[in-house]
Amino acid sequence: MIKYEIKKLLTLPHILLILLALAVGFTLSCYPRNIDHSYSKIVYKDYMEQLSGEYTADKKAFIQSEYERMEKIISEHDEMTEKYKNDIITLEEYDEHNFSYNEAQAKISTVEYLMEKCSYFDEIGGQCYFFYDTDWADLLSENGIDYIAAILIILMIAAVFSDEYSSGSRCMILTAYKGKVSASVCKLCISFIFAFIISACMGAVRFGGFCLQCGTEYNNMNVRDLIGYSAFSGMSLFKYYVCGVIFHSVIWAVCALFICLVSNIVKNGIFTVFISFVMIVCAALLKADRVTFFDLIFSGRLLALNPVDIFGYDRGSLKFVLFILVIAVKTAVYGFGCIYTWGRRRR
Amino acid sequence: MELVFDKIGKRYKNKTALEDVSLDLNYGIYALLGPNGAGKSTMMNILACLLKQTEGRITLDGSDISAMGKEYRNILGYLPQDPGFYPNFRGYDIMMYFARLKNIKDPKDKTQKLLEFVNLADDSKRKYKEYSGGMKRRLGIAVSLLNDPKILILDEPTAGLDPKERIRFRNIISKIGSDKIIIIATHIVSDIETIADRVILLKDGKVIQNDSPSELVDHMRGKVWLTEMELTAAQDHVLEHTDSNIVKSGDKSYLKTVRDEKPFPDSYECEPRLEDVYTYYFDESGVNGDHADDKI
Repeated sequence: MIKYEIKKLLTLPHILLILLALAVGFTLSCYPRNIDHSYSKIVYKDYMEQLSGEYTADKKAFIQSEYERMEKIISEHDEMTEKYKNDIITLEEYDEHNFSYNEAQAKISTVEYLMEKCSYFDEIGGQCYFFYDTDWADLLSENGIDYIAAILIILMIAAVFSDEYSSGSRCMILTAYKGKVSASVCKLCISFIFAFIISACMGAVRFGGFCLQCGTEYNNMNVRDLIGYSAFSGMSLFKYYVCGVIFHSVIWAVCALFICLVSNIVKNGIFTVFISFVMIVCAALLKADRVTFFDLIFSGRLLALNPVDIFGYDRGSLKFVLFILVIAVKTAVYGFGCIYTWGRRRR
Repeated sequence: MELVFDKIGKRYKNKTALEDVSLDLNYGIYALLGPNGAGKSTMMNILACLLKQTEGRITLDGSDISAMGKEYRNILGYLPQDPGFYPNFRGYDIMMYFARLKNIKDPKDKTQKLLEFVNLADDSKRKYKEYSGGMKRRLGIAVSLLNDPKILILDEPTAGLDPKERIRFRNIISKIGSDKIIIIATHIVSDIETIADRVILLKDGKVIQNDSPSELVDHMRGKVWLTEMELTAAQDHVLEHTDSNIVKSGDKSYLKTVRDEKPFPDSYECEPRLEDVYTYYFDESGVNGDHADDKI
């Protein structure tokens, strides 16, 4: 039965739609991310060429000295300008100062970030490493819903039940021996797994584009070396990314069950797509600073969050056990709701 | 096996679809005959456990079918008016999918045999969307027979079929009818005239007659009249009287009228047919009155 349910779902237009979505996702992920930083990425990269490797007291001292040197140059600027105006220093001396001043102005925000990084390393303790982590930090900080996955999943899952209603085949299925419970459970499982796989594939494609653009040399560095990720000690960047993709894929799988429930209630593909879009995608657009009770109701809200918001002990308010509980309850409610509405007799 | 409809009623907010329907069905082919909106599909849907009745209950050998669940579905075959099979599936795939749904032990063998039975074995690899109307219907019958049902419900099974396919359908049904309760809902009299063991006439949600075709036809003796008439005059007459139709024989044209009284002085009686039963009971002109209470 599963074989034929998969066949129903993966028609040629659907396969082409999936391939198109993956291609678009890959292309978009190959473009550099336009994220604003408090520091210069170029300067940071230059410093990382000097500093990369284990964080030591010497490296901290160097950063501190750099900061003091730049602060001194910047603070001397007005005085030097006055001296030049009063012919106390020569033009060459003033030029030399100006060069240092401009360099300090360009670099000081980056050095400040490096000092922040040192403080973070001191705070978390243990062995910490410097490396050029901006690209990874950008990749991991990407919040919000994946619109391509959203469109694909909503369009395809909406058809799983609603097509049976619109074509009239539900009547024939329901009068079969396994037509009530087994058939609906089979459809639910297919929807759950399909949404999971699509979301995971989109994550993989995004990662492929990232590797093509930024390389793979830091994939095995520890995610705790990134500011804000101290809760995930011992996990590599790649592993953390994979966990994030799984986390979102599980939520998408639950969303797929929600879409199934909507289609069983409204019995119409277009309405199902519309309602699912509003309830999942629009809910995800309503941003919040922290996880609230509202997020437990609307799965789309969970999709909009970064795993660190939920699992990070220092920032999140929702713990892993509660998250699992929410997922389990939603799966049960949507699943039983679907089975009931699918098999019930019309009145 | 005894299938009993015990005072079945179905009411919607402002409409009564079925009222006090009581029937006792055993093995055989039953034709449920009635015009559109008579309640045939409602009755079929209630029997298939797709629709809940407002009143009464249906029992199979004493057990309420709505409480039998899988046990009932295991002996039920249902072919709705539009089964809505999957256009991109091959005929064979549709059979196999429903064989799995119907928990058939040897699905490939059963599928092959039934495809041969309905003469679709050579077309089983073709996609459903490429099938003709008749082929789609035959595939539907094959699907409904997968579990060798004891109760087979066919809702308007010949709608849209050409005469050749209609004959083929009748042949298939007569072959399988001996050990099953087959209920065929239709408004096409010729489809069931030769194969039905009993004809149930349904009008406005009520059973108005339930008898064998021959007895129904016998009951019409003395009520079917032929009148030789000019074609134009006959044409004018049938426009105003729905109990009449034109019959041509060679160069002559006749007006055939189904009525309790002789319609014209020169009219004479003729041999009734089952279609005359339909005309008599479902005449909308009211000339013959309401026959809801007529019992043979």
